[in-house]
Amino acid sequence: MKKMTDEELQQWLENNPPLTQSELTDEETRAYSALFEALNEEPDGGLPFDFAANVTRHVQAEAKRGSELKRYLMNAFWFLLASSAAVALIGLRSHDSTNLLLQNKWIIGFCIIGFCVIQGLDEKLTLSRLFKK
Amino acid sequence: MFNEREVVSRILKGDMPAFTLLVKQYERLVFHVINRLVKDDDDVADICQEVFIKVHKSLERFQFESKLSTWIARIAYLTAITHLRKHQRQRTDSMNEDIENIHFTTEDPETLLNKKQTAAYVDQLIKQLPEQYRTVVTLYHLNEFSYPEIAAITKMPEGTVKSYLFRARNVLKSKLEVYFKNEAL
Repeated sequence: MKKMTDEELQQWLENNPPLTQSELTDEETRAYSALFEALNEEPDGGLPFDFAANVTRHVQAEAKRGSELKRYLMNAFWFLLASSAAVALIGLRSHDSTNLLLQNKWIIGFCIIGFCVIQGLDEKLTLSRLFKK
Repeated sequence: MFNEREVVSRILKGDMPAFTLLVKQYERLVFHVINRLVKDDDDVADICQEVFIKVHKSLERFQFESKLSTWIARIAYLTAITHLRKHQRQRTDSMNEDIENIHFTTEDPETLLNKKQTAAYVDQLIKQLPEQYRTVVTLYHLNEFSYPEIAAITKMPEGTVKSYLFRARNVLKSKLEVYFKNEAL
């Protein structure tokens, strides 16, 4: 092989198969040839065998969490709407019942919020145990 | 035969086995990019997972303006760069670093006698190059992207990609020349 510049040698090796022993006429050619072979070889190591399955499981869990959150919010909305309607109806029939509900509004509100928080924490704990290594 | 459009269409309809297929198709690509850019081996699998989660979330915005592999490689590259920026204590990697004068810290290459060891030695050297050089070498040789594709992934001009690749190979070649000279003595 005629003597080539660095750039010519690199371009030649990009577009041609690896050089044979007889073509490795000087140190530079030999080094470039060995370098290109090494660069094209995959390094050791890799991802775990079940990587794809783990990623899919993770994505599914996130999607499920998102749709369940929407479901909880919708349930809470309908519950509040139904409760408000019930209170309004009770109020129409009797002022005493309405006053009783309004006096205990913080306790009733705390119970509803506490219930939702417990549900959410339970969901989180279940999922964290599911992905625990 | 992996049909990009068909797989993407199925994933967007909620077909999770199709997504698993996509991950299996491109996990090596993503691993090569992340493994070369991120120096902490413990983080590699987590970052690869993060890449595919981002792929899943963004898939509906992918309009086949490029190959799916190019798009995924771009996400992997950006995720790796974000990780590097967050965790770098010292800015040892810099685009402006003088690659010709870089100081490599490696084991004595006189012990490397065969091709497998040469490849491992070259891999060690590559991990010490500045991040832009590591990226173009990996994308070109391991992932077999073309110059225009690498330019699209890294948002570097094509001329810069070629220049970085040429300079990185030149520096690596010089290290191997020293090794072969020592072997001959």
